[in-house]
Amino acid sequence: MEPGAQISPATARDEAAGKHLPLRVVIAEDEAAIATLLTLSLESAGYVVTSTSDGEAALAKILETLPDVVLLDMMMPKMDGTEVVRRMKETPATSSIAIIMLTARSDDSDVWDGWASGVNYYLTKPFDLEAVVRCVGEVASMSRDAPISEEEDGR
Amino acid sequence: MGPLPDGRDSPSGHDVALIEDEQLRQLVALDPDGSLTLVEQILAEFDANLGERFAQLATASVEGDADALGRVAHALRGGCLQFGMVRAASYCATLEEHAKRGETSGCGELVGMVTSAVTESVQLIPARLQAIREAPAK
Repeated sequence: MEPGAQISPATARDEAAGKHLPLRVVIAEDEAAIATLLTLSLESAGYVVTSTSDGEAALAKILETLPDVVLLDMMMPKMDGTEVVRRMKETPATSSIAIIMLTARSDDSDVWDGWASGVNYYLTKPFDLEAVVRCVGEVASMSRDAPISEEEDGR
Repeated sequence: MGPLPDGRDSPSGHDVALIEDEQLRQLVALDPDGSLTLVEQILAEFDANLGERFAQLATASVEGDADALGRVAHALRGGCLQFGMVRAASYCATLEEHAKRGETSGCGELVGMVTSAVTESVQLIPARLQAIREAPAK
């Protein structure tokens, strides 16, 4: 991102399946500075962001708010990202919420484990903030376009 | 890669630059008005948690708690990478490797290197940010 550049809110929202409702994002990241970095970037793009600092708090907030996208750090206190994904997938109301995993891991097996558990996208630290914003819009678009099952319809 | 506790394969961590500017450039871009207000706020937040992280690393090393050592080194590595502190991140990665193998004896020196590299980086970053902000656009 060039110095002084701003991410257009309209662009981010338009990329989200052409819908004009602000996308809701839950961030689960135990490094407070990175959570702030992500929050500022996503809010400047027009997203409504809730930030949490551990897996248990993230899962509670996800169940409470049913966001469009969840950004999950892989390693977190209390409950790791993989377990949060597993619980989201076994809960009808959260099973189709788009998930982006954030990690400093570089081991291929970890990446494959993430894909296998139903993660929509994988971003490795250090991440490009513009790419994160774009990625959130794209996975939300895919999620919103997906057919809704009868079980999920109660959302 | 950094030194191993048992002395095997111990190239200098100074092979890796202390700070890389690429990550800092996107931090500078967070403040479209040309100030460094937001980035200073974020770095202060990172700095505020460092004392606790360093203490956790030291305790885990002394107590031989490989799980805690790996977990804290991993968390710290993520922050270091995001803020361009590449040498500190490489030391954290080495710590994580040892922790993964359950090797904690001799990690005290490496914990000290992590602490020094992070501290030195945090002190230098404000000047680097200022230089990036004032540099003419390419």
